Amino acid sequence: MLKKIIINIILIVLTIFILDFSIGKVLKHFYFKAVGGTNYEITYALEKTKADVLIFGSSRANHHYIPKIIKDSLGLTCYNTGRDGAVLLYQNAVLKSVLKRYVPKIIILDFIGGSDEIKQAYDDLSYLTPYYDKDIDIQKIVNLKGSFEELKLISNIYPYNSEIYNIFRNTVSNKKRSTDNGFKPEVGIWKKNIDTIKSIEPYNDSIIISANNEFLDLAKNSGSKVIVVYSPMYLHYNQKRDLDFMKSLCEEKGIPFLDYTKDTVFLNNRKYFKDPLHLNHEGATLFTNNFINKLKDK
Amino acid sequence: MVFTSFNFLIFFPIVIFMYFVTPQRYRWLTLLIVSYFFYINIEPVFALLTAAISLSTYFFTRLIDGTNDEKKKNKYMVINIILILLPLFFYKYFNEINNSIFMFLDQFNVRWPLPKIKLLLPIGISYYTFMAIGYTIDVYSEEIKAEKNLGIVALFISFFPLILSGPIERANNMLPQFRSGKNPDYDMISSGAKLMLWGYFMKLVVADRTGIYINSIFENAEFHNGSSLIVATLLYPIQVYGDLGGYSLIAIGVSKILGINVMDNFRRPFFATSMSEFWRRWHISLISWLTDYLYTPLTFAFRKYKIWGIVIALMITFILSGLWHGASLAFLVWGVMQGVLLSIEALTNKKKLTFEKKFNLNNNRLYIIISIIITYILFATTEIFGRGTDINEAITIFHKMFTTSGNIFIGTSSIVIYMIFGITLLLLKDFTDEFYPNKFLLFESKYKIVRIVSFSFVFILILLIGVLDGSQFIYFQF
Repeated sequence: MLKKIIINIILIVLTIFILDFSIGKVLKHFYFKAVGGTNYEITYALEKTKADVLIFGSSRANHHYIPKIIKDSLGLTCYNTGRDGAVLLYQNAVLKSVLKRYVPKIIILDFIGGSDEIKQAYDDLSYLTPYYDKDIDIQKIVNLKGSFEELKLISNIYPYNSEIYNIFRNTVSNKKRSTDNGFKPEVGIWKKNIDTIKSIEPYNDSIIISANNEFLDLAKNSGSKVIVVYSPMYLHYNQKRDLDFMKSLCEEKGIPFLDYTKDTVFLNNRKYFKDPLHLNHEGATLFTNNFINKLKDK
Repeated sequence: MVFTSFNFLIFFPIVIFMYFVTPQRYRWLTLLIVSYFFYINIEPVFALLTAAISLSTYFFTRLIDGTNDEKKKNKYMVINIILILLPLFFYKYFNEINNSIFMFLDQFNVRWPLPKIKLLLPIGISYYTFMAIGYTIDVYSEEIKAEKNLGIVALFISFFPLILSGPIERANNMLPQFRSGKNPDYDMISSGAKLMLWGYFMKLVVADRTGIYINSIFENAEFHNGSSLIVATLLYPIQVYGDLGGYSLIAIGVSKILGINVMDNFRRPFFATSMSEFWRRWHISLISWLTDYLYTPLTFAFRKYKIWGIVIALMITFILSGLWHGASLAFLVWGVMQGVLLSIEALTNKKKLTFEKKFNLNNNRLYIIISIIITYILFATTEIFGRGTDINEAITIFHKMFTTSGNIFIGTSSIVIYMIFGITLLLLKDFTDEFYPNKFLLFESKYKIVRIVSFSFVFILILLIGVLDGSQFIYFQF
């Protein structure tokens, strides 16, 4: 019986290995062959951009800063590396990759630092698994996802888990890169009244806190002009301890901090929002213009 | 450590090795040690509770078995059941009862609040409590003899594949298997591995993917229209089936590989043609437990009321089943709805049979399809109250379903596509198992190559489109 079981296990492992290897290689080929789509934007941010101004952050960064306006106003090229759900660990990986190639003139970090973001910070490291074997710093960051990440990445398919549809779609449609330089406009107007939040607690995870520090130190020490922004929200809050935490950290490091959360232009106008956390295109245009004026003063 | 964690995939092969190198007569001890290790890994203090329940159950079942005095037997049984139920009531219902009393006192301004004690519900408490009660009653009713080995009783209550979410097993099936520690044959190991793999598919590809879509609707119900809420409502039973059904298959598969047969928990529920048939296919271990230890004694007690006795028994059974899920008004409503639907079926059963016979509908495909659809919709509708949410939220969803319209929410298209693909495969497999049991065999094909390729294909599918971030199982909360 044991012999029969061992033979079957070997046959199954072998079949799985062949399928995993061949499908994984095909996925990898088409993933990196794409010249458009969301996946390509990650590759572009990690491996290609040479923009003078780089925007970092989550979906709020991605939907709030319009590179074209920044370029037209400052005469500097700009790229928005913000990505839905991606918080500090992902941003650290992008910054480290960028700094290996060049030093941007300006680094803008759109900060949102609630403790609710922590699980997301680890989950969203999946964005980086296709680049695992390309860069030692990315490897170190992806390994933070869990104790067995290295082992899981023996599989050729695992780095592309849940990506088959996007890879297939980008390949079939031969999607070209958007001209928005990473920025994705939000469409729609928020129709509900403003809510009040009791409190947003700061990060309470030591890895994330040190990643936060590391990002600011790396950016500052690179010689770039660094600025941290808390962009507008359509929310009132009683206590915003994540903001206080980042503000004091920036003061300590001598980094300018811009707080838009009490800006009445946005707080009194829900027409600028798609939802309480995201500006729509009209809001993003207003905000980017306003932000550039403040940036010029800094 | 849960079945979907990578830790478990390392833990289980070690368990298999330890189990088979242990001499047969001591294998129960190996299983007991690894079961406690498994449970301690979740929350160490919870293991004290299972140990206490095991001790109490062992002690009182021995007392029951050791006397012929019916009064004493009855007394020992009642004491043990109360002792076993105390932690369940305390952890599960304490906060709810507390809040209700506080709210009442608040109305008269006669409350002086102190900081709240936050109680963490020991995972699996509802399952092992029922198993311990079932064993106590079985010994009392002389279905089985009391086990003399405390370790085996402790293993029955803490057996790691079942402790978190069942199936709720019976002592007369499990104790002899633990005692014998027999080697599994090739078929058991092979079938165990296939069940585990399909369980992982159900959980990671179907339940978790569907969950992402459904949660984005239900958790923002106020922003979604009725069409989206209807779709989410119709998909929810599939998510639960994938979740608990998948968990059960993994548990059964793990047990089989260790040479232990565990009862089925689901039998293609979405092909049931009536609610009573549905409940014979859905969460079978819970329903058969409730039938044996609650419904049947109740129908006996109310037999003088004839058909209305059955109605009373059904209502009590399902109301308690609702409260087993949680101490909330929504679960109570869920229980009442199930009880009412089953009662209506019981009351109209004779007429229905006559009608079906008269028009020869038993083999009429259209009639069967319509019956399946109606049963599914009825169950899905009741599940709005069975999701573990607040009653007001459930009512809002129910109300919005019929009062607002609009386009169906799609969200991220890849999620919807993977979800539809997973659900289609699951339902297709259930369909062929139900209506063509000996055709289209893949895992059970007589050709080895088909068996190996289909096994590998499902594995690769999980890698490709499964949700692999170590999510939790819905039924852990119960």
